[in-house]
Amino acid sequence: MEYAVSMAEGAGRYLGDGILHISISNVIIMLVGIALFVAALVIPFPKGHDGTKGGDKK
Amino acid sequence: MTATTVKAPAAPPETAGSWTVILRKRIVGIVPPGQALPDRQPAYMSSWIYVFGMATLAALGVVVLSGIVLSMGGTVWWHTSALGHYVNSLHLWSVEIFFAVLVVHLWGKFWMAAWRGKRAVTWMTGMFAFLAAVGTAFTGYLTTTNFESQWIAAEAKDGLNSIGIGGFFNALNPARMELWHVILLPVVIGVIVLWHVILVRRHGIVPPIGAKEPK
Repeated sequence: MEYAVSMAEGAGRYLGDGILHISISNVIIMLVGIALFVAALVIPFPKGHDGTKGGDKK
Repeated sequence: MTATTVKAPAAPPETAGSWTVILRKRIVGIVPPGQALPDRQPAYMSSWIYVFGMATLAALGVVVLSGIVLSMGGTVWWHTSALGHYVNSLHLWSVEIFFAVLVVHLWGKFWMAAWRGKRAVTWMTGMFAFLAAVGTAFTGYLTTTNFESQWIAAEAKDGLNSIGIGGFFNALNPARMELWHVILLPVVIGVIVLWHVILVRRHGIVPPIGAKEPK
């Protein structure tokens, strides 16, 4: 699928294909959200002061 | 010397039928002692994905506080005052952060199937809080008293009229939208969020799929 980048006069940059029309700033915000979500899953949580992972290991 | 044992006086019997006793038992029944503000959590909570619920609440707190300050000065003061500009920006960006962390919280709970373990109502209150927040944000964009809010209102009224609620929810009436934004919808969000948090404390955090929940 081919995406075309167009310029709406003074209204920012948009990605458009058929009925889809989305501003690049919104695309960036969505990508940052997804990156934040993935980072929250893979980045290890800091350990507690007592050397534990902060939770109750049962 | 011989040690003497002093017997503690017996607690007076509870007054059956007293409204305070009934209310106390009801509150303790909803969230048992120790669960409201626990100091220990299961090991699986030590993950960043569990942080986003609290981050959403923290952002909501800044949204509410900055909104209270904004409302004190009227409906246009933030256009002409340096302090107003600052508080207006604080309100806007705390809302942006609120929705960003809320969405990550929502994704995390969706992929964790957070409605498991009798948590269906917890999930649904979260969804209703999200919908109420969207409505509050929309009415907020209608009350910024600038050309953008005018344009959004003019576009929105056609959509609202097409589903037959334009007379009841008139986007072109700034005073009405202001009241929805600063009173009605915040009260709705406050009640639902409080209910959501109480349910989270009552049932505990949802374990990851495959993890064993401590009893």
